[in-house]
Amino acid sequence: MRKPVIINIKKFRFIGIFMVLFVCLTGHSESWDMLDHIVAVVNEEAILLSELKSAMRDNERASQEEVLNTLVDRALLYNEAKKFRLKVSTKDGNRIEEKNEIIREYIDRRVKAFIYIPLNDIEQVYEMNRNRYKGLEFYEVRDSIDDELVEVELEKKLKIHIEELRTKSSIRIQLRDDY
Amino acid sequence: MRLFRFILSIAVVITLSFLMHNPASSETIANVEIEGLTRVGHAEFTDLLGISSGSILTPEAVSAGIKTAFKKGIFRDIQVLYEQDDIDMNLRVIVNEVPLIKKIKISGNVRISKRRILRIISLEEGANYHPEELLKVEHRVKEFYKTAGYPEAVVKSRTQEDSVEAAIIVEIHITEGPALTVSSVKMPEEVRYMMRLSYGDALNLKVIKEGIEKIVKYYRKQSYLHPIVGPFLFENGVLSIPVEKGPKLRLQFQGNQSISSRELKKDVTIMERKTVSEDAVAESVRRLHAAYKKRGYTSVQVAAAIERTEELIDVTFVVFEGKRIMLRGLTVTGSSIDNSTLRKVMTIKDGSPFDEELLEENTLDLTRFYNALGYIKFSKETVKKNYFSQDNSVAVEISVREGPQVKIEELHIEGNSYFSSEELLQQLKLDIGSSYNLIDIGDARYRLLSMYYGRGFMDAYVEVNSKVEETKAEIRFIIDEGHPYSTGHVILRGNNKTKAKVILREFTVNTGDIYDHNEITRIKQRLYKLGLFNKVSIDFLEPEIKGDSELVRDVLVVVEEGKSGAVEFGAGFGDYEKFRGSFDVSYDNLGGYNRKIGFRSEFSSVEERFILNFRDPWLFNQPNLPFSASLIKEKARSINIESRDIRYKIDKFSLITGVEKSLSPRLQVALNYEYSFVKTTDVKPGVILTREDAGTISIASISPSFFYDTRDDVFDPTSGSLNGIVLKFASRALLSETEFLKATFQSSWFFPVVYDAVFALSFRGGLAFSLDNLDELPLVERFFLGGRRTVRGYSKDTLGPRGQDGDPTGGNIFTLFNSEIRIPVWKGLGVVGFIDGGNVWRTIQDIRSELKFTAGGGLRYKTPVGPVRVDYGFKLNEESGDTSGEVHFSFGHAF
Repeated sequence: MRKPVIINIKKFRFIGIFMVLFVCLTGHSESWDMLDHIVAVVNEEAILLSELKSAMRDNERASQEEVLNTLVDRALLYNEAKKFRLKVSTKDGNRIEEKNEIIREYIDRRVKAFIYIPLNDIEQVYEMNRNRYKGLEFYEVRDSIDDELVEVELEKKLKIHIEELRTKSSIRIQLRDDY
Repeated sequence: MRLFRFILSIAVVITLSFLMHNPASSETIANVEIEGLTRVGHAEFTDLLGISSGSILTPEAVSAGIKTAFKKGIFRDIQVLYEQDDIDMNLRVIVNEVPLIKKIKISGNVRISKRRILRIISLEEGANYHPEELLKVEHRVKEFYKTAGYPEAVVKSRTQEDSVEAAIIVEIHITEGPALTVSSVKMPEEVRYMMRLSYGDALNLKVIKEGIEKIVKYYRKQSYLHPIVGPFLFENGVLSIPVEKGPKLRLQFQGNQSISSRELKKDVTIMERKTVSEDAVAESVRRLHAAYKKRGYTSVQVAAAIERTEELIDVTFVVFEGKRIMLRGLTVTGSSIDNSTLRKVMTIKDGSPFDEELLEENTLDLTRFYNALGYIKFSKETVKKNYFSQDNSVAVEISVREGPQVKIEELHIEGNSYFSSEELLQQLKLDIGSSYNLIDIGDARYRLLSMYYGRGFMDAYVEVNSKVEETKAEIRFIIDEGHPYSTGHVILRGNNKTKAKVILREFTVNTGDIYDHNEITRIKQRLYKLGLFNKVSIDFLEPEIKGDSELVRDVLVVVEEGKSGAVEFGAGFGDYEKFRGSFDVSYDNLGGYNRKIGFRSEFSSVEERFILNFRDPWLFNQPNLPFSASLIKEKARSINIESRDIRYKIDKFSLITGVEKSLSPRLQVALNYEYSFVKTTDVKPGVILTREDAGTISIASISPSFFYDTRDDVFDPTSGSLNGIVLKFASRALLSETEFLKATFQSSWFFPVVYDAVFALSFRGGLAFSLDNLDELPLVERFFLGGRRTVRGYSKDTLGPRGQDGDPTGGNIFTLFNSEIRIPVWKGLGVVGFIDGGNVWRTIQDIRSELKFTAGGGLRYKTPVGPVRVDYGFKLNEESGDTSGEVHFSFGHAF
């Protein structure tokens, strides 16, 4: 009569855990993983998953949709900027930096250049915030108040401008959640 | 310890799994699977994607590849997935294509035709389909129905996907609903006929709009200043169009003697401005003033008086013309250039009305002329006008200060390294010592840029710095060369029907080559020349990623395919065949290979011809080696043009195949094989010279030909020449029943003479030998002369030897000479004078009879494909019984 084989489960406990974990973590090696694909199309420009991921790394607090919308807006602005044949050159010839610079230049010329803050408005802000500008005369803070108001106005105008661009453009979002 | 082992095992597993799933590091790809690709070949796609088995995988390259392939414009998404087993890295590419519109089905439309709806929706079968367009389509059709009087129309659309290829069928269903119908129209009777709506018609807003526009136009023509028509009202089937005519404008002129009131009215702009305001009247006064001044009335006075009633506004312009001053003479003083030369630059003429505005313009022309000669400091000092009251004339003296003439003393090129300074200086085409001229310098700068663009330096920039001191100019061309770019992928977009190969084979700038911008321009011209595309654009794309690849740029070729099929009808009249007609149906892009297939039929009172032809522009994939094949079935009757009696009838069935090759843009050679089955019947006995002249015969031949063509225009040449020789060799070895050798040559020359007239000269000749021990060739192969393209004093084919009954028999040898002077007269109309001479002889031994000459003239009317012409030729060697000449109606030049 053969002696029954008794397996000491305890002995194989770690091997078991190892195998379960391996299967769990590497199990999908039998399936396919996404390397890259087109997540959005703005007119004739494609935005890729890799670009979205890279942008999300730079902006960790924002949601995926928010970051993608920002990329779409940038593509719209860059497209418009190209029509103005703006040319910039960066020191090291970095394409991404060049694109950013072109967009900045476009916003300056197409949006910011049309913003004018009347003197009365600046005075009003100064009067209302005298505590903040303690001891400082109007002429000393005028420029910084002007800059602040320009920034606020720029944000509003840029939003309107992007909305206009969005209405006359073809935008398709095709984010997938199955990978 | 246990905890340590547990943590260690998890760490090992995570590390292993991470390593196995991180394709960020470069790895060699073992396999690439592609799914969903139907609209483009695998090779073209993988080339654009840059991924293939055996290549190294980097995520950056994959991203760049997706972006490159996406530019083709036929993909919605390209997903690249990876899988790594123990040994290999495999890739799967899943493609989601933009489907093509396979068919558009329209149903439910009763009142509006399908063709009209297709025009409105602007969707086209064979084009890319974008789902967002479908909503627009519904809206467009609904709006159109609303305008047409069907406000309740419902439009529904849906799509049906093709199970095999990326294609869809668009279905548009329309429920038109009831129409708003017009029971009566209320509007003034005098303009009622302009509103094309009557009882029972649908309330078509477009028709109403057009009617209102017509009525407004009508009243304005009647001088009503601002008629108000509409807006319309529609209630219970009654369409009401209110009309308010408003006041009428009456223009009157007093005191005008030299210019008629009708002519002056053209300068009054009150009607255009629709108001008799002070501004509008003042503007008209100014314009009338200017009109008089232009005619030499330098002291003219114009005033306006206005009188208004409710229905009429009277505007009277009172003119005091004064005296008309003529230009007695004009001299330029202070100039080193003689006055006669300077007057050629100026358009103002002595003896013409003195126009001060023109004098001002001419003074500016003078300044430009001096500047072009290097007198950059030239200035006009004074303009003196001396009036002569005895003959009301003025003598003008313009005093000028020329300043020094600046000449180029030094030319420098800086910043160049790719081209040598010598090469660049040569291209400038500016000479030391030549006058300093900004236009020439601008051209020189453009030539330098063009040189750089031709070698891929697309960012090249040339700045010109000129230093001018007294009479010397030192010019520096400062060059920023940038980098030479080479060509990346050639991405084709829009070629839905046309194969990529057909476009790519025109590309002489290929992947890896230097991006030659000048050659790209030529490629674009060649693509247009294929006749397949309505639009071609070639763009040099920005690089997608940073690095060395920046110097390699993809080229995006976007084409818009035109319609490949064509149906043509033609009708004409000729002196010989009388009325003739043709019908042509062709398709230019067979299988997407730019191969042409066509069927043509021609009819006239003397012939019927049916031609089935095929042409492949690239035989065996060889550039500029077109192959053609034609099957021709023809029935022709040779007749006596006066009596219309039949000389003989020919039934011919031929197969002609051949290749042609352009050895240079001007030299063309061709080789044709022809097999004809000819049946000759009803031959007048006198015409029969050989056994084969009546009955049936098969003739097989090969024909090499050479043509050297330097003409500036094939249809209406004004310079250059056409020289050519065609040989025809028929042999039993080629399955022919007869054997002969035939040669014809042509040399035509065109010389421009004065006033756009052209002198044209042509020599043609032909010689044939029978190789069957016979004197003559079969009837269909013999030479005939006479008619609208040869000797124009004779009717068609009537020159040369004649049979017993006097009918022409043709011969084995001919010579022909034509000379013509072509003079354009007015617009497209022209006249010609010509002398033609020539004759046909039976054999070379028979050349005894003289050449027959005719002289004559004709009219020409230019069309894009050559002139329509009428000629009359007189016989200069008239024989008894001959007519004195012949009239010819035809198309195209005689030679």
